[in-house]
Amino acid sequence: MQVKQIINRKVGGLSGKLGELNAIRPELLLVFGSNEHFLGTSLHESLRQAFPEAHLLGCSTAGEITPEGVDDGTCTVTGVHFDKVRLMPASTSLAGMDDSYAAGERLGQQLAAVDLKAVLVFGPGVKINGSALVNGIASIIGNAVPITGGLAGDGGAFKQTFTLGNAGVADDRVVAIGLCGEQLRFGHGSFGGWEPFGPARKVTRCEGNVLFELDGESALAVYKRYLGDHAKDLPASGLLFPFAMLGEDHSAIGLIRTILGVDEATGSLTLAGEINVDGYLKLMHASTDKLVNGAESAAQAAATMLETPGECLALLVSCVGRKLVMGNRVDEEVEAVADVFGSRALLTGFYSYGEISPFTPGSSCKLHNQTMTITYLGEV
Amino acid sequence: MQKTLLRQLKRSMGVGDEAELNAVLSAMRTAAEAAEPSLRGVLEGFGDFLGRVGSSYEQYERDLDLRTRSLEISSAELSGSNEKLRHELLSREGALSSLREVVRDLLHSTGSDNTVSLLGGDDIADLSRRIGELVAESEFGRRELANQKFALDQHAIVSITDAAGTIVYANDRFCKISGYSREELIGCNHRIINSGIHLPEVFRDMWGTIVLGSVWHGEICNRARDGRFYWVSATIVPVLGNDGQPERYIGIRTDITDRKRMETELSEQLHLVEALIEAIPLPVYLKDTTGRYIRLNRAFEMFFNVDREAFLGRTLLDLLPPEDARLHIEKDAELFANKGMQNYEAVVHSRDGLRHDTIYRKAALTHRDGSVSGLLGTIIDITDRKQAEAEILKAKEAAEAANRAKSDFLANMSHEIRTPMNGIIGMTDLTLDTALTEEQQEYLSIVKSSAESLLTIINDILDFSKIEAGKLLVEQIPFDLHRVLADTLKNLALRTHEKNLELISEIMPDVPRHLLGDPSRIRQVLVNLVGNAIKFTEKGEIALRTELITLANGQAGLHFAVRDTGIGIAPEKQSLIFDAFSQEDTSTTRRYGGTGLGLSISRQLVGLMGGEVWLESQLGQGSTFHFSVKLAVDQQPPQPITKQIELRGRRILVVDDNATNRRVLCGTLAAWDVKVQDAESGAAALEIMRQPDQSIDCILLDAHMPEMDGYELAQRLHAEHPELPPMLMLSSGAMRGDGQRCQEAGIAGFFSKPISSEELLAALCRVFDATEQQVASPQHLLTRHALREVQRTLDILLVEDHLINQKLALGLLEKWGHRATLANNGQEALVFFGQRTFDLILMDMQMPVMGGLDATLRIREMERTLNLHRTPIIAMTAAAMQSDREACLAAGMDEYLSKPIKVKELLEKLLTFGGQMEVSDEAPLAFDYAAALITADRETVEIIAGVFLDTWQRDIERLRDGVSQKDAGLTERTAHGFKGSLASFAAEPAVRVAADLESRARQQKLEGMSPDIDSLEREIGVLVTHLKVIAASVSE
Repeated sequence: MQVKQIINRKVGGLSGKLGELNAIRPELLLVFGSNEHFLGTSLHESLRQAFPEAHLLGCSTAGEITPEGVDDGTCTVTGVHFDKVRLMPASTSLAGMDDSYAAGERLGQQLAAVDLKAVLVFGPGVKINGSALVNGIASIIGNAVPITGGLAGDGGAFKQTFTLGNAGVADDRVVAIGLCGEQLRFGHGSFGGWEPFGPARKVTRCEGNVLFELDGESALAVYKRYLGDHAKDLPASGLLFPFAMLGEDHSAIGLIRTILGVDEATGSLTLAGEINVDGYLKLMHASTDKLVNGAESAAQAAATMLETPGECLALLVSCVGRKLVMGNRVDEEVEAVADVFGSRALLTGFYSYGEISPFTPGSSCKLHNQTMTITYLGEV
Repeated sequence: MQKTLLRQLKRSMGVGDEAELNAVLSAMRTAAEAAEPSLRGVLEGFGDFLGRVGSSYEQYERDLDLRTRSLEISSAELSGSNEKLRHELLSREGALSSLREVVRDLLHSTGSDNTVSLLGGDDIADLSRRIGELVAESEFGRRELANQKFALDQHAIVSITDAAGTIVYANDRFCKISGYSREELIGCNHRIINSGIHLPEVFRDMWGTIVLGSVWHGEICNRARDGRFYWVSATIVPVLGNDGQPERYIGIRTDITDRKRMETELSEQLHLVEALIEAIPLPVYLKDTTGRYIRLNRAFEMFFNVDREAFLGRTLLDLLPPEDARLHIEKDAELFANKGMQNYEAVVHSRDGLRHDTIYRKAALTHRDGSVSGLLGTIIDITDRKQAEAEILKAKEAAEAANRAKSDFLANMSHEIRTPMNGIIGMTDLTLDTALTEEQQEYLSIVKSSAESLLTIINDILDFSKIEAGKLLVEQIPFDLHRVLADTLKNLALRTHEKNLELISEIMPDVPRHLLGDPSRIRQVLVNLVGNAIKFTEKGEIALRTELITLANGQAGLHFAVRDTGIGIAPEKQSLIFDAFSQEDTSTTRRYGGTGLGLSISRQLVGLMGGEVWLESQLGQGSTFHFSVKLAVDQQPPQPITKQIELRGRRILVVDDNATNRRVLCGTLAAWDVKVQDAESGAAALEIMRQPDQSIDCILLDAHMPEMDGYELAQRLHAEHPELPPMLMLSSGAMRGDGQRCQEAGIAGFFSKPISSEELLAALCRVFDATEQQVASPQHLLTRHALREVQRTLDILLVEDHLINQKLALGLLEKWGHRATLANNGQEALVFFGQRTFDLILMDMQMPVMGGLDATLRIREMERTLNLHRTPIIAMTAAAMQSDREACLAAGMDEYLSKPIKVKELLEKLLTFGGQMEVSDEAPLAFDYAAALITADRETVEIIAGVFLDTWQRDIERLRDGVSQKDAGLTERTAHGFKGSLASFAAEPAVRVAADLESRARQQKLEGMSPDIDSLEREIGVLVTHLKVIAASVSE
């Protein structure tokens, strides 16, 4: 396996840089950039022009991750050459939030292969039920195949995001690549670093990923109480207090849910993924140090799974909420991860609106929020 | 710029404010260009550096702010939650403790208080367990209650009302019995089932009771929806609320309609019984087992003149005087002991002293288990009845006296009339027996027949009177029917013979011979009917047929038919003929005579004997008079004659021109298994006898036959047959002298017709007996008279006061060869009786000085005291009623003759008591002296035989000498000697004769001994022939 990366800071300046990737004859191009880069068709054209045969996969972000740290307004293109591993592309249109599961199923069918070993999927960051999407895919390909990826971002605006597939850029398409072959080595880790606080609140009314009431009170009202002045920055400020999902017995499931949107009219919060109807939620908070430590933990988890020699790729999908919390220090988490991986792995990734990764090794894949999710790829 | 940063800048670098800072920064940037390379970065990047630091400070502030805020809010929330939880917990705790209280109370109320203390803990699980237990218990109790309620509902009518009386619950039974549906009942008041028959007080009382919280019981009549009434026994229970006031009333009722109905019926019945007891017009009373009155009715009160109130609970002793009471107390005790009923008369004195004759009728009353519970008595006042009885008794006695007077009159009449009649007839009879001229004979005959007619008429009239007076009684004595019929007919035979009519008697073989009845009455009827037949028949025959119709339970129903070939009776007269005083027509009376009473009397007599008379007749052809009688069969008839000869197989020839006669005779003979042949004339008989191998054993000849009569036939038969079987002659008219002719004709026996079957049998027996056995004595001509005439002379004491009767009787007795002694009355008779013994006494009944009954009584007494043997006494009486006869027998008489004396009857009686006819009849049967000698003591015989042979003839002479010389002693001694010797030879007949001679000689009665001596001589003669043989053997 060979990997090489270029960073383009100017919109339209990509084609000039792409040549650098020729050296490895990439079969896969992972493209992450801010919205501006995805507007129009120049991205797709540029890529195709440079690498007509390569599979294209990527999405718009709420921040780009490179080995140096975190950037905004850039576009990173990471080329990957596999020796043995085969690639299977898949994509489908998302007809709406309710179509999330079906879209996942459709992707799953496209990805079905005997020796499918891993799946990378990127979906829109708004108007999507991320967990449904993941469940849909898993329902077809089973729980044995890890699915990783994330939901596209739009710099925290929560308005419109883009994905890139072989067909091009779209704001309503879910794209994926299936990695097939025994030679693939796959490691992952996902860690948040958030801590729950306060009382466990009973989910008294929710529908799917829309939370209406907590303990009989309007969910939005609760949020506003805690945000205080910052409430005027909703939904972005909602990233400051994600929810910890608790079971009926008040024990943490381990999942965190981020607000994707608010609805003043109904007083409801739209979360990135579904929550347990009979469950409880607790507010969470985090400090930068904790988040950085979390990222470190994630990296360590991923690293322990993978002991392959050779070049590796580390795909870092972090959550926009973390960026908000850490502010300028957001680079520290990437640095922490880089420290863990050392020079072995090439880092790429983005700040998304929802991270996709197996929860624990061997368990089903979930949509995560507010986490640093790392996918570590290698080949033997 | 962040304030803290600014302050720090100020402190460390002395930068005052942002404007200063900006100026410094621009200066630094300018300185950077000229600075050392190592400083260049610092100088250039210082502003950026500050910016980063500033934003970090801001971030930290923000974070801190958020965090603080979060903490506060969280704390507040948590506090709030805590508070809430605390409250909740408190209230929970409160709830728990009240629950604990409740459970404690429940446990306390269920009585399990040992667990109460254990409830201190907070163990909810334990608490809930306990509650669970309690609930389970309660549930159990509830189920039990539900079951009870269900059971109750099945039986009882249940309703629940609220305090106002509105029905809130009605069970199924309530609905059913009231006919209202549940919906109709609930919400209504019980008024809807009000029957309206109860007074308002009842309901007021009920409400009053239950409103106070008490339970009310009672019986209520309700009305169902359809108007039907029903009774319930109700219990209404108030259910008290918390305030102690009734808030519900539960009514439980059971249907007692049936019971009420029965009660009503019962009370009505009781009432009825009460009314009955009161209504009974007899005094009725009830006593308990202690003898106390428990019930008296109105009639009782009135009878004893008491008030029932005063006597209930009292005893007899309070009611009646002691002497009256004692009887009843005893009777009561007896009744209680024996139960059942009592019935007795008692005299009772009522309160007012009046004496009442009463009948007490009592019955013991018993409980169901049979023990005595008391007695019921009724008193019937029979005082009036008793009086009536006494009067009736007096009337009865008066009537009886009148009756007796009537009887006495009739008896007297009989006696008064008969006695002179007796004289007339008797004397005339005697005179006729003397030497008379033809003229005298004829006149006297007319007198006799007139007298006899008159007697008949008088008898008829007397009989008729007796019948009218109801005095005619039919006797019930044993008699021989065959003999009675034979005698009756024999008496009538003469008249039939005079008119040349055949008189035939046919008795069916099954007719019983020995019966119980009144033979004289039967005879009377037969005489009447046959007499009539004879009277009205000119030619032909008169046949009497006797047959047995029924025989059951010892009762024989006999049917007699008298058939004649006379003039007959016209049909229109037939019905009248049995009526009294009517004859066929008055011309008949003139032609045929008679009173016209005979048939009427016959009808009455037959009726008295349980039969009927009826008649069949055809004018010019003849008549048959029928009558039936019912007679009892004599179960102990006199012993028949011991000696019977088998007639079976004998061959007998019957010769008679009359077909009926032949039929009768042949029938009679055939019944004895005799082989009979009959001939209708002498010629036919001769013809039969001429047949070879005709072994006829006996010939019966009719004397009167046309062409050849019996005598001529007999002679002819003798002529033709040397070895002729014996012949018996039957003649319709037996005349004196006929016997002689028979003997001359060699006829063994002579009998007048109609011959009875006994006579025939006896005659045949003797005929066959005589031919088979050696007869020592000369053959007797067997005649009827012969069978009876041989008798010895009797010493007769005639006790009669009437001169004519004396003469009559004496004449007859002497004519018959008897020795008669006359006593004028009973007294004289006793005198004579005391002097000597008699063979027979003829005692008249009605005599002066001493009558026949008295005399008889005295005679019998004398016989008893002096231990004399009984002398037969024959009563002669004109009264002839059953009672008289009984009186005679009771007095000790043996026989009874009714006056006027019938000669034949007298003769018969004499023969019965005097003559030893059997002995003389059997005399022809030779006694086997030879055989007797063998039985005798041989030695004695041998010793005295020779002497006897030498002396016996001389002794016979001595006997005769004694008689002729009136030396009774000589005769006695000689006879005595004969007796002894002959006894040694076991020559019984001779011994008897000798003994007889001896006794008579002793009694000085030497009269009439000669024939006996002759008899003795004959007997000894036979003995001697045998003795000689023995003597001869001895001497050898």
